[in-house]
Amino acid sequence: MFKRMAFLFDANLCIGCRACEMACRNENHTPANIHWRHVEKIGEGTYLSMACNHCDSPECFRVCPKHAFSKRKDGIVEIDSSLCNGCRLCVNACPYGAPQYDINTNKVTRCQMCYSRQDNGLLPACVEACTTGALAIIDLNEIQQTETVEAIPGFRDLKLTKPSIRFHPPPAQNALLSETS
Amino acid sequence: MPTFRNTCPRHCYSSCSMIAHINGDKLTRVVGDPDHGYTRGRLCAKGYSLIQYALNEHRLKYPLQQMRRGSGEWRRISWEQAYEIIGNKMIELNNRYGSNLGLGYYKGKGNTGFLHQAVEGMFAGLGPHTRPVGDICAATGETALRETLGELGNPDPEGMANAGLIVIWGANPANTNINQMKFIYEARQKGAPFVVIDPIFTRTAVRADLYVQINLGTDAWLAWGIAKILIEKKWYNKEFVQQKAFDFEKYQQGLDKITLDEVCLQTGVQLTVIKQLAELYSQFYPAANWLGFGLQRHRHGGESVKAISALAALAGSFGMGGGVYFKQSPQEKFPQSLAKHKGIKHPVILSSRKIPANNYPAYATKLQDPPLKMLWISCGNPLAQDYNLGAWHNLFGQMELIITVDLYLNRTARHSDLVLPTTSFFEEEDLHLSFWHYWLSYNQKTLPSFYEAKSDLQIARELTRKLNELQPGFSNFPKDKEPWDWIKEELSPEVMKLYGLENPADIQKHSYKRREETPPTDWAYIFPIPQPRLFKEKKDSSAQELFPYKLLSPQSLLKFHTQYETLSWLNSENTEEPIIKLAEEIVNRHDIREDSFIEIYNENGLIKGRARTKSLLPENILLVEQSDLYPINNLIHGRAQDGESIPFFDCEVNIRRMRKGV
Repeated sequence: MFKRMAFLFDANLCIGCRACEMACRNENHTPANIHWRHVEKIGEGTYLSMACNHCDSPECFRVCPKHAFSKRKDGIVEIDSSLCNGCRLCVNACPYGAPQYDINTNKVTRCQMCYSRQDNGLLPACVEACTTGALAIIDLNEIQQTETVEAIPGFRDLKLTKPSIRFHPPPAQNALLSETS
Repeated sequence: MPTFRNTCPRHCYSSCSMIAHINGDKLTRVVGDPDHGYTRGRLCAKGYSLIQYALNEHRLKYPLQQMRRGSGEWRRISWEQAYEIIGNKMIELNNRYGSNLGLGYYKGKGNTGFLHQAVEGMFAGLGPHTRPVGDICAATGETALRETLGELGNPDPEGMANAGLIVIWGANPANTNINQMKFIYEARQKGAPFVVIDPIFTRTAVRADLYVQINLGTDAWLAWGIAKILIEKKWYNKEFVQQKAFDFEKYQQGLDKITLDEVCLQTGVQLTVIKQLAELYSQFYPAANWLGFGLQRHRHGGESVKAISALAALAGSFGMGGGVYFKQSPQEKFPQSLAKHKGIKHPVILSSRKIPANNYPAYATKLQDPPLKMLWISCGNPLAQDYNLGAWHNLFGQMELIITVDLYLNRTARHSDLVLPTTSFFEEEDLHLSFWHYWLSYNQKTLPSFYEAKSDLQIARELTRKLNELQPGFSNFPKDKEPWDWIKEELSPEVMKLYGLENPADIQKHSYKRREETPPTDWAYIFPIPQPRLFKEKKDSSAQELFPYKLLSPQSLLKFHTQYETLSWLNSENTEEPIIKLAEEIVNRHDIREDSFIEIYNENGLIKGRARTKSLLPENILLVEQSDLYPINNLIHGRAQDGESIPFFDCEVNIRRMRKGV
């Protein structure tokens, strides 16, 4: 069975605590200049936590002259960094900044959705770390399209690569919400 | 791969229990303990960065001696040499003054483990000495709540998930207590409105259903205003007030002297919003009122704490997730054998000299007969994190020997004569409680000591041995007891019963939660008498003109005060200069360009930083993170009264653009 594993993100729950970012480092031991996962401020107090979106049509895969990228049966885009020659075509091609070039090794590395953890029945480290439940993984072949949306303000949904990320829709404005000063 | 149990020892709400994975001698992964009911296996960003912390390149490896204080000329010495220098000085001072009162310590909360009370124990072993008392952080709130809530303990924060209404007054859990957010969300999911009252539009405030921006330090007024409406409309729990509370009439009379117009003026909150808050308090039950530490870091902060606690009493909302959430002191139920160690008796002097920790250097400098001559600092970095830093430097100037025990050569260490490298919590055994949740956790020795680092307890043991070698009978600190002996002693039969442990060794396998205690049947709330006069003291208008801005330095997300600053995962973008966040109005008023250098100054000092506008920041507030690189606390000066927290947020400053070429 083919799967299309994707991240599911709820900006309504994310508090921007960056535990997901550091849990990724704790798991993958990435150096400080490499950001497999990154929490970005997309509005006043609103955050987007994003890693590689393991696109259905990955540009990194298409442009790599060394064919270092491959897509697994579960949808995860893998990179064999030993094949990478540091040309950085993928870095420039990816609309989400997922491939990370390490100047010290002259190689590109990126999020691989903790596939070895998933193979062992564990969640990706970032998902496991999320204290508010803002970050999850789903199989796009299984979810109903109505529950999630393909983009939220602040996310560039480029139809070109068909990113495997879905979002919870922003909430209807709460009647109680008001501000005073 | 073997795993170990650890507990984060920071003075933080969460006190996370965690699992460390080791490969050889290397820490490879640190994750949360999934069986811990409060954290449910999640850590914060700092927690997930601990593998960098444990083997940080900036850590101290060996004992160091500074040839001339402040010179930066450091010489590596052996522990034996260090003990020799310290021991000889202690004995010399004892001979000079006829007691050990000339010897003192200052202890911060850098590690809150039971076994770090070895510092207290080591000094206790000497007989009468000089020691700090009191809590610099939360004393104001604790004092205020003792007056109103009496012995009622802090509710179990996991129960906040069952609250009917959550009102956070001046706390920012999205920054400082992320594990609480899920309980808040859970309550919200069940229909509880979530309100945040804060001068700053925090990341917690963003997630609220209602955010109320309040003038700094005026929370008491808002709580009085809400209470007035609740009483006027008879929207309060008469049964509770009649049967379970005292002094309601006096409270009501006090409120009568306050007008809602005054409340609006003081707080900057519109009347419609105050009414809306009163409606929420009357319609949703029980209300969880969370008092942050921020609102009691002002003079008269206790008034705010008391006034807010009265809202809980008006609704009679104690229990079932409602009540007043502030902090607890669960260690009081423990023997605390180290801290309470009985030292050798002095023929004349009966007890130690106690100095209020909330104004330590001011008191310590003035001590006579004998003066304080040797200072031992552990678990803290007062030269960056305390206030009245000028007084600290005076105190240091008066010392004949300053010893700092730390992991890093921080600002305090750099002004010391001897610096002793200490272990991280991965390298020592300990036992931990939280000032917030109800869990008791064990910390296992997971890694060998980093180079020559030693724990506070090990240092206490070895220095005691040295002292008694130099002068037999100088100290009676039980130097032969091992860490586990001390831990076992803390797990007394009463403690084991309270936490549901069958054997002391059980703690090595799990964290244990304290049973919830029901308040005694005769418990009653004592209504506070509102003291609006306190807030109307005449302010010196010229001083206000000179220093029109308030400098706030709340806890930042990726540091803990000045800890974790050197970890590149967390703080790689740190600069030598602070980022000064300010409102657009201030930027325009002073013609400041974004990211340009500005100076913040007052009578106590000056600090240079980069200006950055932050939307929705009140136009009289400047925000700067604490740091060891640029001690913003240089500007904070004041005088905490007995039993009060340090009024860190009463810091008045002005700003100016930097001249070109400076």
